[in-house]
Amino acid sequence: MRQFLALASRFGWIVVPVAFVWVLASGDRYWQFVAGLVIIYALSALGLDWLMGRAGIVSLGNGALMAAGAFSAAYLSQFEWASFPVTLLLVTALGGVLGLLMSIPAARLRGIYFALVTLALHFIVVFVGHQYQQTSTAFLGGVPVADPVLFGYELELGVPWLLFLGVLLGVVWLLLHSMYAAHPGRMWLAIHENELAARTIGVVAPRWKLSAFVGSSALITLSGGLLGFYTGRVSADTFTLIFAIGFVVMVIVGGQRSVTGVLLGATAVTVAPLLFGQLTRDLSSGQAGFLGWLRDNVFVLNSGLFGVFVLVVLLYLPRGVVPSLAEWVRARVIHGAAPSATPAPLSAASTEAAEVESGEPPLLEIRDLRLTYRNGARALDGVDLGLRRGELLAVVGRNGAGKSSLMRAVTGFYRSEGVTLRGRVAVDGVDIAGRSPARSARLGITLVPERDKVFGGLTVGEQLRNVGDIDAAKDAMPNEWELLESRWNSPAGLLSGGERQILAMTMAASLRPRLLLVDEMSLGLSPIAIDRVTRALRDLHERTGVTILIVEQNVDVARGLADRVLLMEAGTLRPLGEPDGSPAGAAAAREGSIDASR
Amino acid sequence: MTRDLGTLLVGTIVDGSLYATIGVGFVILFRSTGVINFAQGAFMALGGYLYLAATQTGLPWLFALLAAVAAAGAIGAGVYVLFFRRLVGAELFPLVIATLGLSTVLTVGMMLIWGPQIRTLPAAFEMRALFTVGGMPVTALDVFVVVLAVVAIAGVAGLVQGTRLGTRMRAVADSSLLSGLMRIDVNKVSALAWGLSCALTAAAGVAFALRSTLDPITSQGFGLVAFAAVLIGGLDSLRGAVVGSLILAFVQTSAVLVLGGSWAEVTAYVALLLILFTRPQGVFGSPSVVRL
Repeated sequence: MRQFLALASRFGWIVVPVAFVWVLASGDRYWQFVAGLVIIYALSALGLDWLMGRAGIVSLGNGALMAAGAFSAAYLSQFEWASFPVTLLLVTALGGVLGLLMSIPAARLRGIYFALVTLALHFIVVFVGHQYQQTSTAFLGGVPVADPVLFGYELELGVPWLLFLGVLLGVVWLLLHSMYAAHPGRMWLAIHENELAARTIGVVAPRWKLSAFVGSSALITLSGGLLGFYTGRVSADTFTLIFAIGFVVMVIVGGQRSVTGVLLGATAVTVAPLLFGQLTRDLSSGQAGFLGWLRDNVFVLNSGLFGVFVLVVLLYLPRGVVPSLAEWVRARVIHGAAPSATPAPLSAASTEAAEVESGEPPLLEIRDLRLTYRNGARALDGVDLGLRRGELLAVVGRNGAGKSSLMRAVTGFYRSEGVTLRGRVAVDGVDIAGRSPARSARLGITLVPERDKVFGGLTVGEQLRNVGDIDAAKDAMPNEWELLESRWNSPAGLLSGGERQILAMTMAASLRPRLLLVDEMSLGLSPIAIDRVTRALRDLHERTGVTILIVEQNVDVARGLADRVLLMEAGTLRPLGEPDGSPAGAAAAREGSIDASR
Repeated sequence: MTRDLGTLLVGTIVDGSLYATIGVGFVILFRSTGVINFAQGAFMALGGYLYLAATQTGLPWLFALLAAVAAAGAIGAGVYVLFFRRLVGAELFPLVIATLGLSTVLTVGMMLIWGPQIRTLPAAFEMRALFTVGGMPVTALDVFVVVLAVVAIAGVAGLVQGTRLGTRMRAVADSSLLSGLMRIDVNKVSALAWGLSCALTAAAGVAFALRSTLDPITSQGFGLVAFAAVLIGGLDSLRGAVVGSLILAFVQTSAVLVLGGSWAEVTAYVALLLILFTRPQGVFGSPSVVRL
């Protein structure tokens, strides 16, 4: 079974050529015509995936570019000298020029703003198309396109057209595949993941974006030209906003950054309404009742089908069908191979860390907690921890050790974050693993996160008055109240790092939590600010007796503040300062002894 | 000439008010949930149909309007609970595409229930002129549209700036994760924002349908143009939504006077392009919004 899955994930793309050959050989003129349309739309969707999936530029411009391609093909094909191949070449070149023009606004506008530029362009191009059609009464039902002649043979609908389109798609597929696997693909991926980081490591982002624009626009415009030749007439009425959005839906449904996924998306979005229509016709001939109603409304239902597609996919398979499937298969294949890769049984040290001396049940109890992110990275690998009521515990460790993941695992994740959590997280004996941050917050667990710890757009006063509880805040931080009052009307985004941490801790304390979590309390703060923040937290702990878990990188700060300090490394916890032969344990112990000898 | 000026003035103020009402709905949803809702046009049509259904039960127009607005608000909140709750924390573009999907689903729903044919709503007001501006008659309906916009804008402005709920809405938009951690009921606040936004849009939809006709499709183009108005003003600013609406209505009315009716939509998008090229954050928007 596992071998079959591995083979399927490797050679699943073969479905596409097999389906193509099957339709080609079937002799069914209707489905051959549909298959041709699917290929033309797939070319356009592949162009969009190039721009959106690879280079990370979102666009609603497929309708505009295809309209431009179709109208220019119609215009050119009326001339004697413009043969079918020459016209297609010229249309493709025009697409490249249009891509060049579109990259100009894209240099200034990001994300959704650029998408809206393409939306505006869509309406403008379609408007121009309408105006062109009004120049002659012969054009009102659509501008005619000359019959395509390829090397002396007239390309007829059916097998000849389909063969031509199939070969073209194959060539485009090979070109894209080799390009994505090589240098350009990696450059686009780098820009897509983090443009700023890509620029700092020397990726010339504007040039690569430009090339993605020119290439993808040429491809999309070519598909528009093909559509014109294929249908024989070009009408601006074809290129509605829904038509343009359809291509985004194809890419999202099938899966970005997957050629097979895009082909599947194009097929599904094009064929599903036709199949649905045929099915209802077959089922309901002459019937009344529900089936009759279905038959009478099939046209309307079909127009909304892709809306349902996109909602279902975004809600349940946010990365698209094919990547989700591939991920599932990969998980199966890896899972099957897992026994040899499972970590050794928990070491004595880490279980010892979880021991709680008193007989009273711990406030927070974590057992064998494992956390995996969507990309497969494992951040927690069997964490055990017990936290007594009223204890102040610090977890130290390096970047990437899993400290912040531990904090978030206690508060819970949103579904959209795609995190897998296994094991037990109990507060007062109630298992809360897998609850959303909002639900665990209502249970009295309050986290001061590492980043975004205050609402940057709200003033200090607004947050304390309307988000937290102002009286409780004053009680919680009497010594810091003066500082907060002095910045009352300033947006929290403008505070210094120390002030921000004080505000965040005050807000958290004003909720009177049962368990207060502070992530990277002193990270990035000046020594003076660290002193102030440490003092504020110690005051709070002494006065209210609240149970506190902090994450720190600074061992001195952690030792000075906490009742107990644990070391986190590679997703597991152990007491700090017990040399176990590993370099990190020894180093941590050394740091600990320096601290102790001070 | 004076008649043209009168047309320009009345057209700008009345159309601008309608855009502003929808635009405020856009802004309040964006400012509290970070969702750019392309289904606003569908909610306009939905408002019209709900109003029609309410008048058919014999309700007088004002009560029918209130009932339609309340029902649309409930449906908006329901949409959040059913779909968009699961997308809290998702990226912006998938959210936009999800609203486009929602728009087609709503449109199909309306077509199935009420059919695709064009309907005329029963007139709520007598259509004779109350007074004239430069020879251009102004009807009670025109006045109603302006009053609706003023009430909507003043109400929303008061809510967002002055109240605990308004601050919490802004907090949710700022960071839904931190809001959850700070025990703000993100779902309640977001559902309220959806409901409020859809209710405002539905009210504008009733006014739109009263001024022209009602069908599931036509208002959607108008809803998109209203979004262009919001962008011209600045995506996150109430004042911007109002000013942008007036600017756009002025440009469109002028274009229709000079070039003819078919130019109305395309001028809106040309204006949008010009603004985006020269001042991407809009006339009043805060530049930080560009960092999306």
